[in-house]
Amino acid sequence: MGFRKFIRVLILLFAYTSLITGVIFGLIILTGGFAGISIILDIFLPQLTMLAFVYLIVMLLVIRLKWGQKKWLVFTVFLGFLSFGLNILPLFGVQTTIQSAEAQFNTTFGTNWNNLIPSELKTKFRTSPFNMGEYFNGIPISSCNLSYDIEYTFINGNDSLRFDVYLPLTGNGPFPTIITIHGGGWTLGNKGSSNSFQLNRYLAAQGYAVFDIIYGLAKSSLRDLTKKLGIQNILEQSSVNYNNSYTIPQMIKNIGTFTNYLAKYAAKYKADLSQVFVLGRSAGAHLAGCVVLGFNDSPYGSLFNHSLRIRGGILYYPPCNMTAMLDNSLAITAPYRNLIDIQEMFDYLLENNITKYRIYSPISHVKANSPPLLIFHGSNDKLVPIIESRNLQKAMLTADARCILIEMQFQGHAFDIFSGNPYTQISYYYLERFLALAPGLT
Amino acid sequence: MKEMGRSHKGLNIIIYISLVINAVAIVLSLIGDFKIRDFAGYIYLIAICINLLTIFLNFINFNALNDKGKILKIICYVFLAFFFFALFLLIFKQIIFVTEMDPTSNRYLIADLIHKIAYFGILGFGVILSLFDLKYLNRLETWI
Repeated sequence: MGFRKFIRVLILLFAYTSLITGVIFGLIILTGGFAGISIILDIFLPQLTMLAFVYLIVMLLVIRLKWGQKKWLVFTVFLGFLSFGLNILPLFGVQTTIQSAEAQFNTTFGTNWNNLIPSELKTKFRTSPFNMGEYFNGIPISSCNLSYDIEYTFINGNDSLRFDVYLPLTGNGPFPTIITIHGGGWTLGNKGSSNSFQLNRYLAAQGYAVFDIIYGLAKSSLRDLTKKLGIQNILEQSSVNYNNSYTIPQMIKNIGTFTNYLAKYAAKYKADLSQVFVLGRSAGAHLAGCVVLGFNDSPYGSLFNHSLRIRGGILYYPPCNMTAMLDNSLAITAPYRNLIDIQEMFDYLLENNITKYRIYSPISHVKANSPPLLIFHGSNDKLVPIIESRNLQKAMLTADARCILIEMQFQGHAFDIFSGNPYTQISYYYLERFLALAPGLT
Repeated sequence: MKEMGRSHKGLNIIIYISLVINAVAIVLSLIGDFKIRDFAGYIYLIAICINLLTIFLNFINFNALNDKGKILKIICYVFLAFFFFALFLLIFKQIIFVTEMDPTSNRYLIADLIHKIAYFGILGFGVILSLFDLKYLNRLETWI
């Protein structure tokens, strides 16, 4: 075999492998993943639709190399367009998602909700839920005043719990306040770059005081696993050490400590305590749900400072019902289950107390006067299934409370990692409108 | 050798469309307004598709035995390779932006620069390929 022919065979091998991989990736996007396939793919693939064009490029290359061989050409074109079509699929769910979100905003805030937003706020808003330019370039980074790593409590003789604060560049305040709580399965994650700091910057530029906090993580075999894999630093990027021995009740207590700190130093940070929102992602959304819904009368309501007035909660892909863990219905993908002992982790997190599974479930504290919720959840989320959010919304609406659930078509867990993703853009668009409208409901 | 075959005529039309679309995409992409950015994005999407179509029409039309055909062949292969990597680089910026908090850091600025090279490179290559096609369009020996 000559050198040229060898290279040609290699290129063809690479090309067909790519196209077949493309079909598999496409099927993962379509179905939300299969057992045995890493959850990482479920999270990232639906956000990277731009890569669908790669399969067209590979197809063109093969067409050139196989020109004249009709059967191969038909097969290649079929594979190429199938890979492309399946991988670009999430783009076609954008319109459905927007229509559903519009319908829910109409139901929650009335059909003229757009006119209820003050015009001075509207000028800062995104004018459409999806911008094709930002699909290729990402949402531009907003400017704000940022202070890092401020300690709000020092506990257990070792643990310094801290926060970052994002403030608008101009204005004397006080600014409506947002407390953001990071995700990471209660055992991983961090504030800052692990907690969508781009959105924090964006909201600060809109006129909000954003407090991005750490709350003390738990130990778990998941944490040990990330250490073994050498990806713990990537996931956490933390310069702050703590014992990682916290349970969910202690995390809630730490968040309560932060509310006391915030009440004490509200003037310093120009925070308007009469307009406070709590935003969380994944495990952080669970904690945010507990704070928002359990703020006044849950067994842990007394931990929070009641000079803060909670106006709403924004929950990204939240686990809402911890009791589901008792019967294994809180779906964790099969490979994830095999890697760590999930039940052991949850028993630790909830202090081996079955009652606490219920107490620390946001859905247990839904009442008629609960603050309004805005929930974003990927329809193909296999880590925290969308049924969790659907059940919470159902409970809220049954109790006559307000709740909007925006289901992001074809998206998995953590769909908002990349700002260019159309569904991240959609979440920005409706989030800023919710923040403007929600105070009118409470 | 075929004289101005049907595919060749198809290429004739595409070259002009490609030239205009790529040029318009470059100009619009330099404007920062939200609505224009949206419009530019759609033009960019069309430019990507037109560029892929131009490469395809070149692949099936150029005469690789001829010197000018060889030049087109090389441009097409280089464009395709660049295209392949550029799509990954467009995402690379968003990955860096997720992990880098300081917009004035070198890492951030380099990611932005790489993104711009990838973004405008696709359009630039589209213009270059169209100009070469235009140049050789009436030289029949370039085409099969």
